[in-house]
Amino acid sequence: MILVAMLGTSARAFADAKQQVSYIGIHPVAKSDGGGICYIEGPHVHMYEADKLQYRDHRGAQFFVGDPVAYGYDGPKKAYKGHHPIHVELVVGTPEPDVEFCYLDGAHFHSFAPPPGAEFELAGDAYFYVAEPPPIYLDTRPAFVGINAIYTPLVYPRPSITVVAPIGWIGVRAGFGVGGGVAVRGPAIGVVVPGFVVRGPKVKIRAGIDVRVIVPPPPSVRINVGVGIGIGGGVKVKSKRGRR
Amino acid sequence: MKTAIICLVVAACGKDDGSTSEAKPAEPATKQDEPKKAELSAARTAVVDAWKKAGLSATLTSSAGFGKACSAGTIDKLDVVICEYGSADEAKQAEQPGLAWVGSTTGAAWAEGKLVIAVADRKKSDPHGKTINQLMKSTPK
Repeated sequence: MILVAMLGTSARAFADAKQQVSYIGIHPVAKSDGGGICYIEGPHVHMYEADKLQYRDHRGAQFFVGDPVAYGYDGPKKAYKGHHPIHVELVVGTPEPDVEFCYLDGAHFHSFAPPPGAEFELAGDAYFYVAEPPPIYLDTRPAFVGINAIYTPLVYPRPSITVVAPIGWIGVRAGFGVGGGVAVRGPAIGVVVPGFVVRGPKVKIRAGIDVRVIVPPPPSVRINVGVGIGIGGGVKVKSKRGRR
Repeated sequence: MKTAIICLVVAACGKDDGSTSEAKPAEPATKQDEPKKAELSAARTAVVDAWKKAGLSATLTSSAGFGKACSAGTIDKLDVVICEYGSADEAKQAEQPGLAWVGSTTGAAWAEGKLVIAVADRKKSDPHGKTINQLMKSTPK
């Protein structure tokens, strides 16, 4: 129900506004204004509205938390895997701390890198969120995870992350392990997660969360109770065109 | 008759000496609504110089704006106003009038010290905001 409501909001996204709407940072331009990306990094105004899934309020201005590459952004970018916090104040240079969460599943881009520290681990040129998520992450996830319904059908050059996910990555943490885009394959394992346990009868794979279990015929990968998959090691991040 | 011809020739030569009516306008005849020519303070000059240094084509030609001490003109094809206030706080408070000046179009208004700078893309010449971004980033802090 919430998702339907949010999608309804999303469908109204970018409708013409009768009054100025404040933005801060780069963001997609409304189709009514030609589409593409607005590259204004500082505070500015447009005459169209922001949707509730791809934007967060930052001191009264709309801050874009989606993947700008999906809209044609051609500036500097950083690859991320799965959900993670965004320190908005560091991105836009405002004084008050404001941590918002990105709920994009799987590999995606942002125009900014995370702050240095223990929160993120850089593996294969991609950032993985490895800290303990605060309660707000789970509290607000239902309201914002619908962003993936916007991005899943989009065709654009996404980061292709083929790397061993660091220990502690949110994509495999107990209670948080959705949205990681975990691809478990036989010989060609895309993202191999050390200690990731796939349990036969308890596996829950829901559409839209980018969990792909691909088992080629021979050699077979046995997905049984308690199978830990920890093969791999090739660190490679490249851009690939196409759907996730 | 000779005198009359000489007078005509002298008058004609006087007009051809390089001066134009634009360069030296006939005295006053100024309309009340016509904005005064921009008089740039040192602070405003520094901003304009920084924009020019960044490769932007800046022309401030009038004193119209949303404050008392303003300079208005264009940056490339964007409308721009720089207004100067007595303090940084006053300038900060003038951001809102600046946004009102922007009106129903893409734009920005921000305080930079005692100055408030407002830019509006009324001609839709900067659809991706790259010029506005360059302008904002090249403004001296």
